Amino acid sequence: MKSKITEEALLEALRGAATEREQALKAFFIDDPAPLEWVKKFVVRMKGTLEDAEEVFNDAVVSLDKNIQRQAFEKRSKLMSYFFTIAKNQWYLRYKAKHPTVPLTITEFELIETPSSDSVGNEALYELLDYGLNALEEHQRDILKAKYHEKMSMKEIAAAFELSSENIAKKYVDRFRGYLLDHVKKHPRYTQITKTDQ
Amino acid sequence: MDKDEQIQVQIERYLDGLMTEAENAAFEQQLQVSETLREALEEERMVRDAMQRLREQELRAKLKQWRQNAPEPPTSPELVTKKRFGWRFWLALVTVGLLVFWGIKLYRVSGDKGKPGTGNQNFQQPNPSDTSNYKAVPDPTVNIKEPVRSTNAPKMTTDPLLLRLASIQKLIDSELGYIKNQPLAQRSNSPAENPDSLSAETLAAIALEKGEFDKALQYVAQLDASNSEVRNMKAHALFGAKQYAKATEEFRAVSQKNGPFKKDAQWNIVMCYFAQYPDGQEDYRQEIEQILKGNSKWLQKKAKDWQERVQRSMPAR
Repeated sequence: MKSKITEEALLEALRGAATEREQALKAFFIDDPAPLEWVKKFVVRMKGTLEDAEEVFNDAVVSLDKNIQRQAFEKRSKLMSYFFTIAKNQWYLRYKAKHPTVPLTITEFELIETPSSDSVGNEALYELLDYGLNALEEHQRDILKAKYHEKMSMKEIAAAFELSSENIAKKYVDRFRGYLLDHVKKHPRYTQITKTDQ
Repeated sequence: MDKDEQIQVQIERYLDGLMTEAENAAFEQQLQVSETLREALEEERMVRDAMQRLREQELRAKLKQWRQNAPEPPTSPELVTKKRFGWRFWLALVTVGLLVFWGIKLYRVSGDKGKPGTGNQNFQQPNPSDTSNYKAVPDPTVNIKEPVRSTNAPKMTTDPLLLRLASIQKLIDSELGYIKNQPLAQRSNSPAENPDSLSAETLAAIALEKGEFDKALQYVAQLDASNSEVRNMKAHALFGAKQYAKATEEFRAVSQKNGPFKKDAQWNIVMCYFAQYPDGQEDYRQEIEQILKGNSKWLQKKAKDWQERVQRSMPAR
């Protein structure tokens, strides 16, 4: 089934709230099997398996969602071309990780995006962030998700969580945000990580 | 809005890319001088990174769920083929196929050569059930009835040699037109009118035409044996009576004399040896070779045509 939404509509939706983004992603990448088929053909042609292809596809969708949120996508190319480039890079990175001794050709190497500084060497910090999030209670996470994922205003959060006012909503957000930072910063490994970074 | 709130709003606008260039430049200047601002920015980044990771985990889970719920699109055959059978597989398959094909071909050719006295394609077993080749042979002279002796052929036997002999016999029978006495029709009168008034020569010719070879031989015996035409008839009768060795002698005698029966007799010697399979194999091969090396283009063509017919009548191994 061909996706009924256009690239422009997808891009617009991907810049929006999480729910809206998910609907757009589903319509564009799940309801329309063409992108997945393309990734499968590419990965299989590049000596990968269908399982690899599924994982590469998922990684590419997640990366697309993240990059658009970070405004890393400049509208110089088509969104689908951008997606396929991400998928290719994901595959090359995965292949290189599986075959560390196999040198990539120059063309392949050029296709790989230079990893940003925040994605290298921060794995330890990410683990701490995961730890901090897991340490929160579910309703605390939900309120943070409402702010950061759904991009709700304090008024909308207050309405969604049946809070008495925007100020109360803001207090909750700040408090739970503080809890998260506390869990991370008070972890014994945090000082070690930040010292290493410095 | 207190100062902390103002800082938080600034940080969010900075990270969301909502600042103008001037605002951006001013904020970055502030960052250089204010450690509090840097710390606040770092904290906001950490929270956003944490929430982004949570978002990615949730999105992955949802993608998996969507893929499970979505109807499975038919995997393209090209995809399956490419994975399981790449171009190397098909290349190897074609190569193996060609090798097997040529191997069988070579085996058949070498098998033919390995048979003593057969040349390349002689004395191969024609398919007894395939009579199409025989029917296609033109009958150049007279209407020939199906030879009587063909009914005695071991048609239903399963012995390979007998089957082979039976099929050879069929081939020979079909070739009777080639060795038929040419002037027969001109001399023949209707035997039904008055058989007693006919000469022995005519009666022999009629018997020969009717496939009554023993009777033909009886009539021929009453005639002058030195006459080429009589010997030729005798040879035909002997051939029809399956006395191939004697027929060969008679045909050879005819072929050594110049006359209208010379070339036919030469060819019929080949037929006699062919009919004596397997005993006549070597003689048959030599006769064919002599004809092919000889001067008579007519005989050469006949020999080649015959070899092709034998080859075609060979059953596929």
